[in-house]
Amino acid sequence: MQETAHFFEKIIAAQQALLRDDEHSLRDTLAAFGDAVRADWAFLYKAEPIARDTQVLNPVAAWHGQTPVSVSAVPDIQPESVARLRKGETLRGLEVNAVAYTADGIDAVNQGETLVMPVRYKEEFLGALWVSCALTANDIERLKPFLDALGLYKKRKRVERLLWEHQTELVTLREAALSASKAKSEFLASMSHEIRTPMNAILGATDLLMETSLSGEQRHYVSLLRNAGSALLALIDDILDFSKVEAGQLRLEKIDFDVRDLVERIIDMMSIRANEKKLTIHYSVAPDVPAFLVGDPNRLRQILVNLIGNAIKFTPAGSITVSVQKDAALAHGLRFSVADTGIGVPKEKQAEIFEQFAQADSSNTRRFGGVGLGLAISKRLVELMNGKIWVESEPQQGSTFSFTAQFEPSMATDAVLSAQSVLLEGRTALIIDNDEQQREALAQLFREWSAASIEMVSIDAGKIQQRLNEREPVNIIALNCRMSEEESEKIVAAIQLHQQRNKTIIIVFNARRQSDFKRLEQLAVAAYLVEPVRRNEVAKALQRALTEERLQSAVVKPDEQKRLAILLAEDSLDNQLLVKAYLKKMPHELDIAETGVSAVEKFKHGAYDIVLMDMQMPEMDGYMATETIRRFEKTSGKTPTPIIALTAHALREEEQKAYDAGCNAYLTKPVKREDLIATIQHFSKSARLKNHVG
Amino acid sequence: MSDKITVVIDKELRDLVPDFLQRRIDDVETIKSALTIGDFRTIETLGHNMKGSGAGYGFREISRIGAEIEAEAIARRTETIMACLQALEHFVKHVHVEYESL
Repeated sequence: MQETAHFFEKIIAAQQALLRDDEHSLRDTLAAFGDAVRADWAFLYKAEPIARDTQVLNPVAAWHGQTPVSVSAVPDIQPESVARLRKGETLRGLEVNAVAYTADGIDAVNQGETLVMPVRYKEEFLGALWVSCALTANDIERLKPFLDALGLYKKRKRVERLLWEHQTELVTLREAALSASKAKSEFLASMSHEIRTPMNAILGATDLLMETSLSGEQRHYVSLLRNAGSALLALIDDILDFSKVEAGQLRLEKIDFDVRDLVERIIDMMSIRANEKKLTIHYSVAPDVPAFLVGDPNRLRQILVNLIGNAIKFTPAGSITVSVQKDAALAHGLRFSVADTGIGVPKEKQAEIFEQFAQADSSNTRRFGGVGLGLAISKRLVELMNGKIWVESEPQQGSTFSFTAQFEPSMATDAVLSAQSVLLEGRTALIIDNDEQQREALAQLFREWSAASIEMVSIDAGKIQQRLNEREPVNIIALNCRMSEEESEKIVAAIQLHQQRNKTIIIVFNARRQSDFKRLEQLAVAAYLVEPVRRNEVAKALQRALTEERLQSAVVKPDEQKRLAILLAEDSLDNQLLVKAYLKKMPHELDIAETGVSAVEKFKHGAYDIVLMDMQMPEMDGYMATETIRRFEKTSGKTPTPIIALTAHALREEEQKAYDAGCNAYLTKPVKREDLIATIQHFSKSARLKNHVG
Repeated sequence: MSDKITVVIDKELRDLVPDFLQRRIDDVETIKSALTIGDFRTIETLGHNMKGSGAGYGFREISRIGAEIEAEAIARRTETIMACLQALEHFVKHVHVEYESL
């Protein structure tokens, strides 16, 4: 009884040691086991596969009562015996074919009754247990749960090890994949540069060659060179783009962009090509399309240019219509369509054309030129934008290519949009145009910009003359040249007289004929624009004209000048001192802020009549500061304070950027004293009005 | 033959000009230090400032040199920047200002 109790106590201890699963587990298990069966020593082996069906038994633990024993004392069981153990046989010590390596007080091989038991999990051979005592069949039966537990333990250990090895392998594979990907994108980037460099040199040299004196024949060849070179460069660009997309190397940008402006500029650009083929382009952007979105405008441009370019290419005559609407299915999504009256795409080919280098009809390639990768790239770009692209078409009647794309909402608020406003307060505008839609489109803009009165008249020289003779002068005239030569003569003459007396700002639409341009030389035309009316173009033209006007107006004498509170946002000490010096003789109060942040703070807590804003400042630049001020004004219901941009850049884009941010005027550094004073004076009029009112 | 460079400036600015020129000398030193630690950002800012203010005072040449320094700082070209500094130093040393009512 005691024997049994002792046995079970020790066997339980042995199993507990296994459960602990720490570095001493095997040793403790073995010890408890040995104790349980009252053995002098015991060895534990692990089966290791060395070939598909061959295993060896490696000793993993050894126990010899109180005496420490090293694992190397354990005899090496030979293959023949291993094979038998593998089959599940329990072997008597003397049967075992084994080799002892050290005499460590244990002569396992030659000792009398010893026992070697296999350790298995189900049918899987995992090891062996060699113990120094003779056990009866009954004993072995009682040991079965323990041996099973040992088998399970070993099995678990084996699985863990395999998992660990796989994990290491996975990490290695992942690193290899990442570095291959990196290598690929570096290759694409450097190839791109490598290829473009000589191509640009070729095209550049061709252009220069064009400018030298060439015979007719030479010019013809150079022009062939140029066209081929451009085509090649375009093809290379496409291939590189396509490779990038396929390699998953293409990332879309996330930047704010003005939807209408983007579409307008693309139409602008494509109009030239369209006009060459005498095709008309119409476009419309639905009113509920947001003004600003966040996305990748360059890639969007790429898709639109591709579709419109194809439309132009495959339309022998007629028109192309581009439309932009909100897409019901996608959040912040848009649907773009390009419809043409061209040769169409047969139904069988409609799916194919979006795949690389497919052509609807090879005979068309000869007639119209290929589409190459354009549609394939567009498709992938559209998919990156979470959209779809498809075509609806009837051969000989035309095609409509449509695509959807998803964007993100923009933080740019209405304040920014309306900040790009033209101050037409107190001005009268006269719109001369036969087309009602055009007239209305322009009138809407002038209304938005607070023009005092807007009159519209059709092309009727008599009526126009009459109106211009009336006492009330017109400040702005928008003239559409779509009229006959005789009418044009009379009307331009009438306008010329009016302009001479009243310095009217004149914007001309659709001047196409040579005679138009010649005739219009008599007038000071602020801008030549084309249909359809584009908000940004008209705004730009008017801003420029108003700036000119401002600079030419007479300087008011200092003592007549009302004292103004001026905020100067300028980080350069040199420029601060300069502006102070310029305004020395004026009664104005000048407050200085050195960064955009401090400018906004001062503005919020002060009451300034005019702000002079340097556009390039650290921390927060002038653009951001202006936008912030405009937003603040809008939310607190204050009338906008005139903000004059001061910038070192003289580029048109910079000018536009300043207006877009909400500036009312733009001066380039180095600023001339007269220009600064004239501009301040001009805005002091509205400042006076403002103070008067509120 | 002196290589004096004469510049005519509005006498309103008479009080400001000497300090302005001194600050440009200081800029030269700052830029030299910045070059030794590769701080092209500072050089770009100083160049930009010079570009924007020089001509306002009447020193077109300083604006021109400033623009060049700014561009070369963006391109990180030390040699050219050193050449610009030499030009700037030469200018400031040899400039002679005549004040008139403009």
